[in-house]
Amino acid sequence: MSRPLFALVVAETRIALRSPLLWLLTLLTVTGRTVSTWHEMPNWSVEGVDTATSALVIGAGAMLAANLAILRDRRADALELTDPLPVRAQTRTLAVLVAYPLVAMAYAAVAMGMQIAGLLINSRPVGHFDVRELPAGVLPVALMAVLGAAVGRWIPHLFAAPVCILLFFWTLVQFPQSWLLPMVPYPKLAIDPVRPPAWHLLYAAALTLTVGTAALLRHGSRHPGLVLPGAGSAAAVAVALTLTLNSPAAAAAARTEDLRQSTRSVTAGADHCETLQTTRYCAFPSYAGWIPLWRDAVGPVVAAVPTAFRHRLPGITQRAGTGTFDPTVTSRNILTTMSWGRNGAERDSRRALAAQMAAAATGFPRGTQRGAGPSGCDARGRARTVVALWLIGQTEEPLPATSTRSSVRTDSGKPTERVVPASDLGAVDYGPAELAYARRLLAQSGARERIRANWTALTAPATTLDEALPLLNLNRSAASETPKGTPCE
Amino acid sequence: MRVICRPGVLVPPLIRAIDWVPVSAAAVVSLGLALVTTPGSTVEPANAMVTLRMAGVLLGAAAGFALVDAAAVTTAVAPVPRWLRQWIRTLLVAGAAAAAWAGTLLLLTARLADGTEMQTPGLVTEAAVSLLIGLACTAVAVRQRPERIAAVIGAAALLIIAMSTLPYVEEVWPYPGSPRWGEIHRAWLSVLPAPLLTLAFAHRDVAR
Repeated sequence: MSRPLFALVVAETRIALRSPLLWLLTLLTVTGRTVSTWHEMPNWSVEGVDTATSALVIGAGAMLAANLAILRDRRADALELTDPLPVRAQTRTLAVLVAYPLVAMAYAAVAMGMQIAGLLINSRPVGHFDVRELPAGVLPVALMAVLGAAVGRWIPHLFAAPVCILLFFWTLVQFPQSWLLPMVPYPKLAIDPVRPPAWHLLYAAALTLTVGTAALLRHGSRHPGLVLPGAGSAAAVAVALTLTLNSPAAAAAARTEDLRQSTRSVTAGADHCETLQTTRYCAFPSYAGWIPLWRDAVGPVVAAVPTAFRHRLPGITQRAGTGTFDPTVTSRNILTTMSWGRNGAERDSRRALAAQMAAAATGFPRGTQRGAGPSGCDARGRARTVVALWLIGQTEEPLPATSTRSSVRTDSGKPTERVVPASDLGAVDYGPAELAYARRLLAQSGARERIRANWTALTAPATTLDEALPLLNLNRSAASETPKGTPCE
Repeated sequence: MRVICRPGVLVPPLIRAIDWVPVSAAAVVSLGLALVTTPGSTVEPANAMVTLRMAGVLLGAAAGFALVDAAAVTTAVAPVPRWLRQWIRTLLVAGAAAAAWAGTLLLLTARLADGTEMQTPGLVTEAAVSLLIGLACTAVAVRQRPERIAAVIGAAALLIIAMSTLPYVEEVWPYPGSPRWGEIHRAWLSVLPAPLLTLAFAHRDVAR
C-alpha cells in the first residue's frame, strides 16, 4: 500500500470508528435484540440466524456512513480543492472502501458477540449453532458499506443512499427465501429449514469485491490494474451463484413444504421420545434438551398423584405453530409449544405445563378440548378444583382465573362480545375461595397423604367443596361463589 | 418594522426554492415498488402493506430536503417570519408526499387479490406519522445546521427510529387481520401530536 493511501485509510478508519451511524445502531441492535429475547429460551438454529440478520441494521448505518464519506468530496468547494492534489479520486475512494467495511465488520462482530453472550444468561439452549452463520452475518455488512460507497460515486446525490437502503430492505422482506440475496433470514414457522451452503459466503464476498471495483471504475476505467480484478470478481460471483443454486441444499430447500399451507399434523416430526418416571416426553429432535425442563415442571404433579392412577396421565408432545390436530395424539398427550421462558418467564411456562397435567389428573377438559362448549365451564364449588390447584402448587404458585373477551358475530349479524374464562386449567373458571383453600392445603402438613387416601372421592365431578372439607381436614373459611357458567362435566 | 404576513405571495417563490428532486425520486421509487410487488400476479395484503409502509418511511425521509433553505443566513433578516416560510414549505412538501403515497395505495389496491381488502385508515395513520416524524427530525436538524447535510441527518434519524421498532415488529407494524389492529393504531394516533409539536417548536425563528 502506498504511503498516501495508508495515511488516508488510517484517517478514514478513525472517522468511521467515531461515526454515530455505526455505534448508535450497534447499541440499538444489541439492546433491542437482548430485550426482545430476554424472556425466551434460545434455540441456536434460530437465534444464530436471527443474530446474523440483525447485523443488517448496522449494515444500513455503514451504507449511509460510507456514502457520506464519499460525498465529502462534493461538498461546497471541495472539488476545486481536491482536483489539483496529487492524490486522485480513485485513491480516496479506495481508502473509504478499505476503512468503512472493516470498521463496520468489527462493529457487527462485536454486536453479534454481545447478543450471543446475552442469550447465554440463565439459558439452556437447544438446537445446533452453525459457525457459518457468523461470517454470513458479517459479510453482508461489508457489502452494504461498499454499496454505499459505490452509490456515492455513481449517483452523487445526498438522497441516493436512503433510497438504496430502502430498496435493499424491501427486497429482503419481499423475497425472503431467495438465495440470490447476500443474507437469507430465518423463515418463519419453519423447523430446521435448509440453510444455504458455504458457496453462498463466497458469493457474498465476490459480490462485495465486484461492487468495490465498480466504485473504483468511476474515475479510472483506463487503468489496467482494475479491469482484471473486476472481471475476476464478477466471474467469481457467477460461479459461486451457480454452485449455490445448483447445490444439493437448494434441491432440499425446494422440497421443503411451506408450513403455512401445511396439512400435516402439528406434532409430526416430534420423534425424540423419552420416558421419565412413568411420563412419556416427545420433542422435535433439535429441542430434546428441554425435556429435563418439562420433567421438572410436570414431575412434582405426577409424583403427587397416587401410583394407581398414574397410568391414566397423558404424555407430553411438542407441537409446531401451525398444522392440523390429530385426535389420536391429542387425546393421549399434552401439547407443549416450541418456546420456554427464561429470566423469570420460565415460571409461567412451568405453571402452564403443570396446570395442564393437573387438569388431566383431576379429570378437567384440557388444552384444545372445551368441556362445556366454546364458552368454557365453571368449576366453582367442586372439590376437584381445589385438588387441581393444589397439584399446580407442587410446581409453581397457582394464580386466579381471568377471562378473555372476543368479538363474535351472532346469527343476526350483529357483533357481540363473548367473555370466555381463561385460567391455567384451560377454559375453566374458579373463584378466590377455591384458590384460598388450595393455598391452605399447600401450607398444611399431611395434605398429600389425605388427598392420596381420598383421591377417588375428591376427583369425582360431583363431589362438592363442602363434602370435601372434612376429608381434607380444613375448616370452612370462605363460602365459594355460585357458579357463573355451566358447571364442568 | 411591520412583520409581513401574506402567505399567498410566498407560495410561488417557495415552490421554486424547494428541492423537489428527493421527493420526486421517492415518488418514482414508491410507484415502481407498487408495480414490482409480486410481479405477474395479484398482490396479497401482507406484501402490499410492506411496500406501503416502506414508501411512507422513504417519503418521510425525502420530505426533509424541502425544509433546507440554502440562503437561510440571508433570509433570517427578512421581514417574513421564519415560521411562516418553514410551515409553507412543510405543507407544500407534505402535500406532494401525500399525493405520491396515495398514488402508491391506489396502485396496490387496484392490484389487490380478489376477496381481500386493504385496511386503509390504519395505513394512512402510519404513513402520516412516518412523514411527520421525518419532517420533524429534519426541522430540528436544520435549526442547528442550515445546510443540505441536515436533511440527511433528519433522514438518518427517521431510519434509525424505524429500525429501532424492528425487534418489536409485530407490535408496531401489525400484519393484516391482526386482532390488535385497532388498539395498535389508536396508539399510532396518540403519537401524532408529538412530531407536530416538534415541528411547531423547530420552525420558530432561530435565536441569534
